Amino acid sequence: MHIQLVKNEALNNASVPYIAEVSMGNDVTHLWRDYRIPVYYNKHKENGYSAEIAGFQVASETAERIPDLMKYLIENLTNVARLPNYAFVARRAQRVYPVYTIEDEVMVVTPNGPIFRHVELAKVRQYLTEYLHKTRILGKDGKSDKLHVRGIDPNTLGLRRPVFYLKKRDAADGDPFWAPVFENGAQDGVYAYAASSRRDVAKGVGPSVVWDLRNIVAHVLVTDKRLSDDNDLRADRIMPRYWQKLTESMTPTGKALVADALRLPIYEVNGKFIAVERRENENRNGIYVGDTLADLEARVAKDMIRRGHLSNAGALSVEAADASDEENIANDDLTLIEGIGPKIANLLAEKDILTFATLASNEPDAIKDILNQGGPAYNRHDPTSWPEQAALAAAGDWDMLNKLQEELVGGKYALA
Amino acid sequence: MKKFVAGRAPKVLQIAALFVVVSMFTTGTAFAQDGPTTQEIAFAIDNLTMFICAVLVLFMQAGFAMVEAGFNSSKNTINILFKNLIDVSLGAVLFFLVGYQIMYPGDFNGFFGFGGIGIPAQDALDPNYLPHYQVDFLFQVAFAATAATIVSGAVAGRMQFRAYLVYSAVLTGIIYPISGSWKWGGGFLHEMGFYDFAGSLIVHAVGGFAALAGALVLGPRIGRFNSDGTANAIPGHNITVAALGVFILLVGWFGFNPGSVLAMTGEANTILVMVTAVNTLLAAATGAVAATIISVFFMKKPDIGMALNGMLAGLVGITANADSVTNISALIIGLIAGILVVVGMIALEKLQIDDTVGAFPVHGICGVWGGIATALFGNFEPGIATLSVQLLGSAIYCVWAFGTMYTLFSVLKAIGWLRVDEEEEVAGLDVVEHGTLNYPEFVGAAVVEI
Repeated sequence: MHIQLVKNEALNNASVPYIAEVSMGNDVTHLWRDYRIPVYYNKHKENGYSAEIAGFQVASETAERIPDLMKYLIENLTNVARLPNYAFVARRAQRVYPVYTIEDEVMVVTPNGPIFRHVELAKVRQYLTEYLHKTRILGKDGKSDKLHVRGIDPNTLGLRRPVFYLKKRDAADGDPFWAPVFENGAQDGVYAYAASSRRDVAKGVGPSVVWDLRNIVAHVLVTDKRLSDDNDLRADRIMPRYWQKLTESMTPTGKALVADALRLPIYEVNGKFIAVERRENENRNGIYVGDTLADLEARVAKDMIRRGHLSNAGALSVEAADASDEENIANDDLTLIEGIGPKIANLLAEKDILTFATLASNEPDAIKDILNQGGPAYNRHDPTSWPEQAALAAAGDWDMLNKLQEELVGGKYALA
Repeated sequence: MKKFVAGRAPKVLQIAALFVVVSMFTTGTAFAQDGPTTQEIAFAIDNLTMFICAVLVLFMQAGFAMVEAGFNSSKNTINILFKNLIDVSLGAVLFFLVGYQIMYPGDFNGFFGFGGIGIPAQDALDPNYLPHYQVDFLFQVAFAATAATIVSGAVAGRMQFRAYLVYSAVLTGIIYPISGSWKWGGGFLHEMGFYDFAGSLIVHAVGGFAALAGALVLGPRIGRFNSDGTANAIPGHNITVAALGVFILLVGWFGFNPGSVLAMTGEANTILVMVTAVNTLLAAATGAVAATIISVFFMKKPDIGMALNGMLAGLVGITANADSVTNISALIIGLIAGILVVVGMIALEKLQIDDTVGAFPVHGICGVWGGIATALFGNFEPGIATLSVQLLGSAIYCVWAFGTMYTLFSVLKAIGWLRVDEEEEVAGLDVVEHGTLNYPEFVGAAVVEI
């Protein structure tokens, strides 16, 4: 392994004065063996220079010390001649568990404890969660702290949030499947790991890109006999920041697919039809894509019947959308703000605070008043940082928001 | 191990034969007139053989320690080494004080007797009783420590140290000597014609079933099994050390089995020792080969842990009968033991029983197999080692060891002495129970706890 610190000329950014160029050579079996890891500088901190690798942070008073610390960290992160593809993050417990892909399985290693290995990432997370509950690292079972999946960026080794998930229907007859999907480094496409390989679609941003990746992954899973029917896989939990990019190309059709409890507004992109499934209380949408309205309706009906949300295909019909269908989709997910959960988001929504921009325009005191009116379940929350966070979210500066949020919990994933 | 040699050339003839050999040798040397008598030389050779074999069996403690340490986490190695040290040291004291003369009480009712404290006095040259009690004690105490130490691997990583001290004292001081007396002390199983040459049942199945009782009462290590019943690997920290341990055990077994002939002089004895040694190696070899092949069948790749345990399985299987089967039979006995151990380890996993090193499949299952194989392959006089008596004897040893030890571990559990708590288990027994680390340079490393 060779690490060289170079001045960050390209960005001319005082907060990222250096880039650590890491060359792994034959130390790992990865296709990608060269990384460019940003070195941050914060003049307010004692150990001002810092870098983050797979969620673990190294920090020092001097930039020159950073490469040695990085080398030590990378060596310890290397497992079976691999660097992790994912990490599970427990934010409250301040733990990071690197996840490795080995042939067709994923693996998590605990320090001096069990190894969790399975073909399904979902299973590995379930097993690790059980273990962490039993060892009291995650607190009691059912409490809010849980493991979030993050991708490891193939260029910077930084953590990446998924932009959406590919999910198999909740089946009693088989292992659960979900694969987090990440934007690629150039942000012109998405990728996911499925059936032991990285699956890429690099054709820009849009519902058809989402759907193309779904098609590819569904196909390999069917070939692998881990999915019995191509229709069993859906694109779900599309995260707000990515959703905003998707909606730029989507035109409302004024129609919706409607059954008893279901309302899926229909959009059009380049002659294809997209039905949007909205979740209760949180802005994480799922989509279906069809070549024609009838094709779309058939796909939605089939999946909804499988998932038990619909009794028969005849119950679903295309009707005129009402105004609330599309408005809901335009709202931001305020739970991305650290400190706001679904209940507070609902309380704010009652006061017409539905977007990051609106939240950012409110003074902390005004938000505090809303919380106080909400009663004892709300008034102990401190909204001081919410407008600042919302402003970053509204501007789409997710990297800065992530950094800010880490500092808010006092929560870096420190080394010692 | 047999104290009562039945159906072999009388000692007098053996010594006479030796006399001829030794006198041919000594006539060419200077000390013919004043030198030791033939009987003295025979005595020396038999005792020397026993002494070497006892040392080899004692060295097996090192093998057990390495196997168990290597197959477990680095955070529990000091605890494992400590337990092995206690088995042999506390075991030696207790076996000296009470165990030896419980196991060999002289004339007794066949179920329980006690000849007195310590080692009985013996005239230097008793032609009917070779070897000397002193060297016999050395050999026997090594066997007792072996039976005890089998358990320490199965219960690794979660048992309180004080609970292990109690267990080790009770097993080596009382439980093992009592059941040993039933056969090797001339007790009721001996009278019934039960046969166990060097202790597939008396030593290994007793240890193996005690290990099963310990693993059951303790419960699995945290994270060993998921809520859906599937198992996770908790990898050993050093397979090199584990493999070294198995090789040490292989070498030590050449004390365990050939030494159990209890004599070297006399043509019949000398040949028997060598046949026993060859059978021991052959069974070890087929055990390892069979386990390797079977592990490929179940796990797609040859598994080193299974193969190493396969070698031990073959050794345990041949221990009851190494003196009484043919070389070909030894190959078959080891082969079947190698298959049984892999199936046993997989079955334990399915049953969610956490035996960290596979002590029960190796010593328990293959110990019973050794007892049964004695009836199937052994060459005996009528009435000795019949299938029914071997099955009965096997059942008695298994029920005895499992029943007494299950009770003991349950009592320890009831008074809160058995298991460490979750946080202590995660931290590791080395630091919690002994206040120190075997590998401070890794365990203290920053990235380990994240």
